[in-house]
Amino acid sequence: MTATLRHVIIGAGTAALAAVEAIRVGRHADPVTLISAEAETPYSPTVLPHLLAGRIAESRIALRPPAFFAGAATRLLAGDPVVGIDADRRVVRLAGGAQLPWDRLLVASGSEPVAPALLNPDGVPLYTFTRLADLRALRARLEGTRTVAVLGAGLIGMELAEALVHRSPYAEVTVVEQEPQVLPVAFSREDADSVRDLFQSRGVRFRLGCRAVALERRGAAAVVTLSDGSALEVDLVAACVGVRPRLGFLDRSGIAARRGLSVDRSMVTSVPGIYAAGDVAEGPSADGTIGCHAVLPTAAGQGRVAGANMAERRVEHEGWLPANVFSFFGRLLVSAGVTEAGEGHARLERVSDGRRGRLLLDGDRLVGASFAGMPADPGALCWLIRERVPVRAHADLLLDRPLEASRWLAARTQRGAA
Amino acid sequence: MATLTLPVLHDTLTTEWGACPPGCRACVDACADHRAVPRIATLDLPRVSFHGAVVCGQCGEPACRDACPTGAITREETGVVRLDEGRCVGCGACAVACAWGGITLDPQSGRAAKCDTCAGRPACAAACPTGTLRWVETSGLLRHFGHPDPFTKGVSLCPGCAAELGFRMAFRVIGPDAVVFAAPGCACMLACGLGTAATTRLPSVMSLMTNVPSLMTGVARQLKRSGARTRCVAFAGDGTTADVGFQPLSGAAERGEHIVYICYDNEGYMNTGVQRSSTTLQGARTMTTPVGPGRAGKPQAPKDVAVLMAMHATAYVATASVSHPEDFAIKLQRALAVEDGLAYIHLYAPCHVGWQAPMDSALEIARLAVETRVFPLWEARRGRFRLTHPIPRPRPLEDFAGLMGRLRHLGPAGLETLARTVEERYRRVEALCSALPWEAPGADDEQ
Repeated sequence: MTATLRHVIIGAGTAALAAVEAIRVGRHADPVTLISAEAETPYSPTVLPHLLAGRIAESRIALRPPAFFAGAATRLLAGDPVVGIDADRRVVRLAGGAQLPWDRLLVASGSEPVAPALLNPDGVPLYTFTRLADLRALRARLEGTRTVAVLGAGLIGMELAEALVHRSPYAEVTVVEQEPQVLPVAFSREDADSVRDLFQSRGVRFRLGCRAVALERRGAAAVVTLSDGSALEVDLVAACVGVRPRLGFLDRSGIAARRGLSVDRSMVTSVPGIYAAGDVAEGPSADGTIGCHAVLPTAAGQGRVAGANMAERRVEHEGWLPANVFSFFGRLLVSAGVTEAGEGHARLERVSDGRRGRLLLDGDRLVGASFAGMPADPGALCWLIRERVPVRAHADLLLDRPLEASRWLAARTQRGAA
Repeated sequence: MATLTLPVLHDTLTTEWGACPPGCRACVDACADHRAVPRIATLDLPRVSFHGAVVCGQCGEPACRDACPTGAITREETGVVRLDEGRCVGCGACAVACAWGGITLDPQSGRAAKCDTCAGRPACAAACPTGTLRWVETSGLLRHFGHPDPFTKGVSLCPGCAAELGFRMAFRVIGPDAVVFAAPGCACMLACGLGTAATTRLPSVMSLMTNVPSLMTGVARQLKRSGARTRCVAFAGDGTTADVGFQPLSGAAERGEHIVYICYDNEGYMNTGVQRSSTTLQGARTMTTPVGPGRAGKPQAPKDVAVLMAMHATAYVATASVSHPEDFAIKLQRALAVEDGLAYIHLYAPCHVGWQAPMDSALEIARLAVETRVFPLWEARRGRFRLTHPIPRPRPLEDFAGLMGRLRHLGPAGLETLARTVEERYRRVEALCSALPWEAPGADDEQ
């Protein structure tokens, strides 16, 4: 093993911490410095809707206990954002003026919200929902607020809407989405419509297939003009129209980027010694397509692979695989792989008593599966898709008893007895 | 690196895959007695005739922990991957990350649930009526191997050699206060070195194949006379032990010489080019039991040398396998504790070269030999037997035979003959176990 390596990690979220765990597998003494732009104990933005809904206290969301950063080797610099990287001199520059040298650098800076394209001449405040600071601002403003418009029915928008309703049954929440369905991409049209119905039964209103084009102030309220010409008058407007990799500080760093930082299966960027993982990484999926995949298990997996390679253990990422689990108002939705049938795919479906199971097959093998209102194991389903396990002969069993059948099929191949 | 980290082993729950009785939910019910949501699941699938149980394997680098957004999952020093349900928000990221069925999102409670091993006393394993689900205590395994590795540098045996591994294990248990005896065979390269260069830290004696125990008798008696505690340990192959060297071994056992004799059994004369010995498995192809017209490997059943040794009312006799190191270590300690006679251990050590198997396959072959009943693990004190690793449900013999080229020619008839021999040998040991009960002279003894 070579001499001590200095590791610097930009970010302190899921990917960053998974990388630290992987570095520590073999290298206990290497100094690791995590830099967080926010002056907070490391947390995941996934918890924001749960905090807002009151399901968990802010004191219980720390990704690691304080002792994790208390030792000599692992250091957290919180609240001093990175302003630039010098790849030639191998230093990171911080807003406070400090320069940190590194032997291995990981960029795991996460996502930032995309601003919606609309006219806002009065400067009506648009509340975003990706940071603890956003949550605090929103929570302060919610006192005495009754009507809310949520722009965007993606995962963040829907979770915000659920949290608002969960928090106060008197809240009037309207969700605006330009696609004809909620949760586009993550879930199929049918599953998405069942979620929409569930939300509607709790009083949430939807304006699908149109988008907000303009905002204006009317007294203490705001008027949202929609693309179909109608208007909504609300107390508060939240913008959840999407996220993108947080890469602003990398201008002129020379690291190749498209939507995110281009990485190969070892999570290394175009510059040797510089790695990327999590929402900022644009890397290969399980089937080889290149893209960003801002989901927790992917961030953790990529972070682990990046950390191992930073510690000079050669490991390759298996590629990200779309997978989502959502529990809205007690209804469980599980989806793995593709959500809509492609060319040549067989589609098998079973619907009964509010349960819906669907398999998408390419020949013998599974390419996508989703289950609504019934127990299912997303990890086992992902395994079946990723490992190209032939499942056709047991498709009926998978549809009837997805949890047990997927685990049985996965375990058979895991135990080498296909 | 400043710190050297020693490997740490942890106790674990294991399930015999697919061996549950249909419809049995004893483990789930036992878990549910303690927990709001059971953390073990049965896979009861009568349509495909599968009945099994699945439980968290407590991963060393848990993917569920890395994916959890609230830090609710931690891995403790004991190896337990623990979920703090009070911090769980039910997001399901852990269930996506785990491909092993080890963590489940419960829609009713809106939280995940996973096994915490009941602090090392799992209620499910205690409730399992068939022994399919077992709590395996491995954390103490390494303490048996407290002495340094006996080799000073590399050895000149084939890569992947099981006999070499057996030698290392043996002397990490026995320690340096020993004289090792070897005879011509692979082990003389282990014990005595190559040319004039020794490779072990131990004094070693190279004898003939025909007189290892005789030579040991003299040395052991002289050591005893001088008051030394130094032990005489033979590490000899099956050719020496079962064939030409059997008479002096039988004599030493009958006289009750104070020696430890380890026979590493690779079922043939391997370092002279793979000739059959009397322990070679029935049907096996060797250079002297070829396969061709009218010939289908070795026709005879193997000689059960360990049973023969026990029939001398020997102080201690045991079989062991390189695939079961803790069992081997415990038996070695019993052999070393013998004060009033000879101790004999028959160590199963597959030779991947002679058995025509891949270089990395010896341990897997050894494991399957135990699990198919080909090589039963037992011990006997003064002729009183007990099985130390009973195999109530043997795996199919094909699983074992398929791992090596020396049995590949066996058709259904040949496999059936071998299966009958294997079954008879196992039943013979079972019968010996029930004939006279095992007696434990000291409390030190019970595992």
